[in-house]
Amino acid sequence: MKYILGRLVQAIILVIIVATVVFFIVRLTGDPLDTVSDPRATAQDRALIAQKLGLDKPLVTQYFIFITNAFRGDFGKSFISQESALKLVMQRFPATLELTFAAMFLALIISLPIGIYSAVRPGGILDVIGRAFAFIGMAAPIFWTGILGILIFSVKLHILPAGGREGFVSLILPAVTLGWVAASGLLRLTRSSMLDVLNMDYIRMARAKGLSEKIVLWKHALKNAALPVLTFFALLFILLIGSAVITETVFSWPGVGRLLMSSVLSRDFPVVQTGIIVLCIAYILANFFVDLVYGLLNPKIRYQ
Amino acid sequence: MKKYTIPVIFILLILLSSLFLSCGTPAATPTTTTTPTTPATTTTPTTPTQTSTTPSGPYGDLVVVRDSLGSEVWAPDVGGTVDSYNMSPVYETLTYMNYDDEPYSYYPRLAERWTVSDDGLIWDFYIHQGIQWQGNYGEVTAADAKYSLELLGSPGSTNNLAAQFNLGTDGAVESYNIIDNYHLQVKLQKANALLLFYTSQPEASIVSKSYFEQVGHDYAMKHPVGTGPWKFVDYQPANYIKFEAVTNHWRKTPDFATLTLKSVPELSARMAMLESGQADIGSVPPDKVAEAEAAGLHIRELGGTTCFTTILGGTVLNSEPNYDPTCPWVYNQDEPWDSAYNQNVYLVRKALSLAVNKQAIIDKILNGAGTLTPLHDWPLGNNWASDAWVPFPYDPDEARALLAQAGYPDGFSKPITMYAVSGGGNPLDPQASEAVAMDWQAIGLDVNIVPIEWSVLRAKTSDRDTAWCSYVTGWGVMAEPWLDIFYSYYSKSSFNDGFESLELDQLLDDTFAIMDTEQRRVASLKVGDFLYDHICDVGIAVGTNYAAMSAKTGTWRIKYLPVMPMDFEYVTHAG
Repeated sequence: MKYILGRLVQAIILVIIVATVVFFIVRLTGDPLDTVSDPRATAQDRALIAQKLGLDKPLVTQYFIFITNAFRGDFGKSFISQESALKLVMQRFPATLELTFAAMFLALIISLPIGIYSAVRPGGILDVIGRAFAFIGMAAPIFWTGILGILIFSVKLHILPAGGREGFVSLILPAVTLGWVAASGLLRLTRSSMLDVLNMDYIRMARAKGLSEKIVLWKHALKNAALPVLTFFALLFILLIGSAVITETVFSWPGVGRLLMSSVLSRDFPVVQTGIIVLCIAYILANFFVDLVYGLLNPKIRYQ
Repeated sequence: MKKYTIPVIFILLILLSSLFLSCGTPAATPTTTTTPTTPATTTTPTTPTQTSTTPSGPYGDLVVVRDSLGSEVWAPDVGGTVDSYNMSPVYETLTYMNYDDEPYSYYPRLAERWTVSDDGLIWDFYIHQGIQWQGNYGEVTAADAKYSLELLGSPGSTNNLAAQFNLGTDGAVESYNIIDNYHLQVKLQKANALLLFYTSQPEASIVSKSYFEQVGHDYAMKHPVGTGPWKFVDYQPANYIKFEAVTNHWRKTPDFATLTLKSVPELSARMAMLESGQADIGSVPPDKVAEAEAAGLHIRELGGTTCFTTILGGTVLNSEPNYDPTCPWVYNQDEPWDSAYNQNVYLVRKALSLAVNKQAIIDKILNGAGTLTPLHDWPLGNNWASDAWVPFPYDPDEARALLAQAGYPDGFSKPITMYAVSGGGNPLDPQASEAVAMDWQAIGLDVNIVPIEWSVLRAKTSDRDTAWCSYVTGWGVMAEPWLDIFYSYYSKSSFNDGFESLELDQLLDDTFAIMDTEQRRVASLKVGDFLYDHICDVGIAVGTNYAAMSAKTGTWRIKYLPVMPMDFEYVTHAG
């Protein structure tokens, strides 16, 4: 409990720091009135818009208003649509999570078995194929694999939609595209981690004791090999959310990435700030979850 | 080995399919030199004859792909131009402009007629009686028009036309007066020849006062109710907006039962959706026209809708903090135009224009579909243009000689920054910018090509911080060409493309105050003369926009529109 409270305090401090940095950095990108107001607007028109958006106050005052309101869950209104910034971000977040989780699920079911068997049979056919799969997945840019997927499965074969988010079928192409990248890294890490563990003395001992290969692999080796894989998996979660903007653009997926991209370009500061804070919280939660799972996987790890 | 069969097959399939496509040539990729053929669909559309087998009312789905759905709020005082265009199926305006007419004409829409006082200050709009709001919110009245225009111009409104409709002594409008249920009188602070143009724009759509008051502004702006031929059904943020046809619409009942606007930001995905039949209408760039036709799509050409211009930044009033007299093409407006200094500047500007191979840009980038023009967003060959405005020829030798004569035989003291602008007027802007930069490099100038987002460049234009900078923009051509200059080069606006002059301001103000279209046309020629005489920029060409339509669609009385196509109620079924 003490550990959890400590982590919670750390998390709050981290979010405040991130919010502060983001607040000031986005304001270096320029004046939002340039994108919000009519090009022919007079100085008076612009002043009225600035007043409505709260941009007429000194920067420090704006900051304290933002932080105070943020603690109450009010992240301000979008400069463009005048809607709650938090509502806009949360509207898009399920789509991004859906895509991210689908990609991670695919990555997991592909990379774990192939990674493990590649380690068991290094140089075997599955190892060779697995490595090729991983190299291509890591080397090929997402926009390229995405567009290839669209050309094959949508334009040529007419079996999958080219974009949008309407039903399960529309999830397949973006999830496979994003999942391939994730699976590539995960596969390589699983393989190398398993190779390290399989060469350890306790594994030799387990085999010498006559345990079946299945138990040696899945019970003794994988538990220890899983720690770095799990860490990477958590990082992957946030990496995928962050890099989903490309996948979301290629596949017209209405997620947070696209919202942030358009908000940065239109200098919609409240939406940018809120989006980044939400992503930061997601990252903290993912890390916290991994820390808890560490304890389950390895009882020697205890948090004070 | 047997247990590996399934994963091996799976992985091999992925690898093989990747290799197969990466080695092959994408279907029907056109060469950049192909000239698009004139499509068969450019003839005037006619009302389709319905056979006995076709349903009597609207039927079928029409899917339109767009690169953005905007900010997805639909009220007069919020959102942007894209939002207004996206909701044009639902909302209607007081007037309607037919861009195809010469001179540009205004037609009745919600206002069946209008009058204007001789001094141009009092406008009377007479509302068409009997038009009902969707959802039983009663009849359209003058109160709705007043409410909408006041909301549009309300303090803090982010509508692109807010400055044209705001009230008050410093505003554009003195008062909106309801004379009777169907008669709205608008009293202006000063004459505005373009009020009918503004009232015809989707940004000036009329909304239901009673609906907004009953459900509240915040609900209404997400659930629009209008008088248009389509009824708003549903939307999913950044994904789609769905509409259904209004049967027995007062103006035009759509042929299709549903309309879906889909947001597809990536061009390749848009093309894929059009080619695979997942979408029916979408804009295509010139270099994709042949590919679209090869895939069985038919093409609508929207000729003369985009004008590509090379901006020569930095000519600002001398009082501006960012006025930089070291920039060789920046006039000194404290001196007469015919002073030695300014004549030298003129030579530099002429050299920069002569150095650009504009025809090559038309041939290679605009796919051959374009006509030369020396002026910013100003097409030639109609009575709004002068025969005296002859495009500058491509003559790099003469350009070098002029530079030498101006004192720059070895180029300028600093490199020119050529911005390749993304997210601005036209997707082809970066390519055109690179072409101009290479032409200038060919005459010995040092040019750095710098990619930039339009929103970033926009800040520089507001700060008048564009000396030593240049960029090509391809914005839509306006109804009256001088209006574009009002948008681009008016020194009193927050935005300025890079040329300010009090003399030009006066010419624009004079033109703006003339009510009579013919007199205004004549006055606007003086604006054009000024631009031409001072080589305010390096005009390139007026290009064509293209819309691809699927085989299931027939004709479309599409209008020449600067921003994006609309009027989907006029899309017919094939056959």
